[in-house]
Amino acid sequence: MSHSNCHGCSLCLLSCPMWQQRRDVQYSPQGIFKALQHNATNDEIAPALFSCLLCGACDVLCPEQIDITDTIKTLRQTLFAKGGEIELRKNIGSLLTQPVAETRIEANTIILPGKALRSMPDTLTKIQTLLSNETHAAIATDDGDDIALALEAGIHISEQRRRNFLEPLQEARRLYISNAHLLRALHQWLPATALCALGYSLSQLGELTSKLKKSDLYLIEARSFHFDHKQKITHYDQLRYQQGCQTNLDLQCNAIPTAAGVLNTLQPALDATEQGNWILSGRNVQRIVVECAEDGLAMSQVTRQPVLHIADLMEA
Amino acid sequence: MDKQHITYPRNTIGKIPPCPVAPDSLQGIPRQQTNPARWQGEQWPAFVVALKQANIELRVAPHNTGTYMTDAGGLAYGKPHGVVIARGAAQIATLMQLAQQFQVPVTTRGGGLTTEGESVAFGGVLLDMTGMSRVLHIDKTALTVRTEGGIFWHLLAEALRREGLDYLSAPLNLTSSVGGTLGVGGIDVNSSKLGCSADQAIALQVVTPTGEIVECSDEMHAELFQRVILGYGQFGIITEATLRIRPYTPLRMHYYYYSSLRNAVEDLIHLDRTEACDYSGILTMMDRAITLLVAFDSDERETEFLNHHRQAVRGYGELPFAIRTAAYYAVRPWRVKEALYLYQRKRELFPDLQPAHHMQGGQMIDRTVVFSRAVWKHWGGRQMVIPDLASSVDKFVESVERGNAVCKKYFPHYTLYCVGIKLRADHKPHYELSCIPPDAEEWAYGCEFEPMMGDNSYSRDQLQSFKNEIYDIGVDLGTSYYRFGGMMKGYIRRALGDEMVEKHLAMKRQADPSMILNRHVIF
Repeated sequence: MSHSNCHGCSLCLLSCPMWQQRRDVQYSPQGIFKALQHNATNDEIAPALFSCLLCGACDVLCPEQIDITDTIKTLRQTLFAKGGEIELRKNIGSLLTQPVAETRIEANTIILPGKALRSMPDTLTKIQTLLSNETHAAIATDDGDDIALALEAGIHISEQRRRNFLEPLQEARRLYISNAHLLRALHQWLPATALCALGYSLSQLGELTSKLKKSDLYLIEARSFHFDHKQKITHYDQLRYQQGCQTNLDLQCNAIPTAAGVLNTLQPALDATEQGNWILSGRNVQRIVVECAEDGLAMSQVTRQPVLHIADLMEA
Repeated sequence: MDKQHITYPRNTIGKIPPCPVAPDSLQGIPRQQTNPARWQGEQWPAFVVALKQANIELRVAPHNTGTYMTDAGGLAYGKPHGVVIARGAAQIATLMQLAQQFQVPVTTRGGGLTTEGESVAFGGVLLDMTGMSRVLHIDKTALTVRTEGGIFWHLLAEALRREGLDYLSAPLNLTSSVGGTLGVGGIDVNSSKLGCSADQAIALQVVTPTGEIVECSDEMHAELFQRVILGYGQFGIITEATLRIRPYTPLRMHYYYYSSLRNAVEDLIHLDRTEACDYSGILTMMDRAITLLVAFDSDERETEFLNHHRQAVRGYGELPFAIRTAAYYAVRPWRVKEALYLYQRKRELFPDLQPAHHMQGGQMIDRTVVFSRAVWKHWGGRQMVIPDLASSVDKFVESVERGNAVCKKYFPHYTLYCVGIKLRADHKPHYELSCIPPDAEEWAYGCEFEPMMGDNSYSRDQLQSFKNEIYDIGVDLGTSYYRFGGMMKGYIRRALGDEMVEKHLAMKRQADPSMILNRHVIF
């Protein structure tokens, strides 16, 4: 289904952080698609296109089953290809080159932790231990941060760079990926490999989740959750009822995202504090447990309550 | 702007510009479609300049105005000259003062869930109320909430649920806005107990058509309150509302199945009169496969029903009904297609009415979401045609049966949705010229008739003929309608009488000298 199928039901607005902050239909999938139906140029919709967090909640809600997130990514690509968003391109430029002399990793299981988690070596070691059950889980040195950013922003990735990134991963049987944009792309690029969302995989480990308390707010990583909502909602639904912990699921059972993300950091379109406060609003929380390191950093800015990565429950 | 220096010119063309399609539209004629003529933009340029001077952002690009081209009905199409996103009562007040001065029509829009073009602007300004959609204050002690008028019921529920609270009743479609709903009615499956959504309102902040900001309630500016509630947006714009709320409770659901529409309707009325349940409603898949929904707020209420009232309900449980239905079709093999449709419909619909992640321990924890999403998934589409009849208890069975016969004539598949609405004796003045039928006492009943259009394509004429035929039943029986605005306004005089319409028209002329606010919805 394409954007021309949008008939303006407004359901996408209900879980859209972009709309919730601005209360302006222009800043919603519906607003973008309706504008396109009325011949808006890409430049006219650019502010909304680049405000989107690509959290994917709208994909779950759309009764027309329009693949909204991919459509927005494609529209961003088109805009970049036509030379738009010059400022953003300038800011991103330096982040897109990641000169890594990569060698093939001799491991069946590889973890792609992403920049934020790499800066938390203790947590990363715990994750490595937790996921090294039958075989050793290796940490990828090139975990494609630049590619993830390019995917998010809609920037072309050179074939050479893509090959360099994928080459060391070819022999792995299982990959744990932190970044949801990368996860989605890898489903196409490595169809034969078992690809797992890192946070989701950790949330399946009873030794960690058994330590969640009623006063905890467990923050589900929104993007990978919505990407595979049907399968994951059952798991998280059980988790919250079994452990009694609170989650960032809204009434639609969509995960409210933080405003974390490289694009929103480079060109802030959403107020991270307002988003964090909305997640916390009306909740009596003593601790926040995140499954995505970027979410942890975002929440640390808005609350004095301890924020820890789910892997850190290992020793709690 | 100093309002005292403004003189509003009176509209000199009979208060309603003549409509080339139906010049006698107000008198009600059996026509095929009644889209009004587009306002031609007299004084628009001067109005735009004045808005700019008042620092009100006006969007006029085609993609801005085109976004609001139609409503959920998908039958009426019109474009405003410009769009204003509502940001505050003061901004709207200025807008209305200037609109009066320059005689520019203003059409308000919340969720855009009207079906007869009521929230479609045929020229002039489209005021998008969703720009004012924040919860302002929750009073846990008094059990009230103050909210901006453009908020979707769903977002209100989202904020209330964080505090363990819930609204009383709201439309099953949660992208309805609070302001729009209070102006029309709002029916939920608990309306037979708690009344329509409009009856939840304790107080309103209203911007009048001439741009005054007025706080009103049953005690303060009561006449304005009475006209704005259920007033189809004719007498003011709801910018804030104080609503009654309650502690949140999950639902204990029961479904009973009937092959007789009459039996189901009679049982619904009986359950409401005996106050045997907290929620009730009828949803049909076909006129021989009818579901009566019965639900409870507490285990005690559920137990009481099962012990004392269940025997009086003639509907079957799911398995016995399935067996009876299978037996019925087994001896009527020529109706196999009908049986297959029923089976298919059940398979698609039932899981969505009780999805695991919205249930816990057999109780529905998020009825708001479940029903709303099911409505969009199974009944939504590019066109939503939902004529209805709102009657007193005495006329309800006949209304439903006659409406069902009309549906059958026009469409192979359709759904009927019936609920009771508890009335408030002290709100009689609110109910004038509204969906509440004048002869209803204690309860009113509503039935919506919705064709399942699927991938079939129906002409606009066919759909309008269907609606007219349903509405003619109302004229014949003396009922009212939920959706009598917009394209169906021709029925207002026929159904509710000249005297009542003239009375309200006179009030409208006084309140809105240039007849600019939500023009063509009722007047």
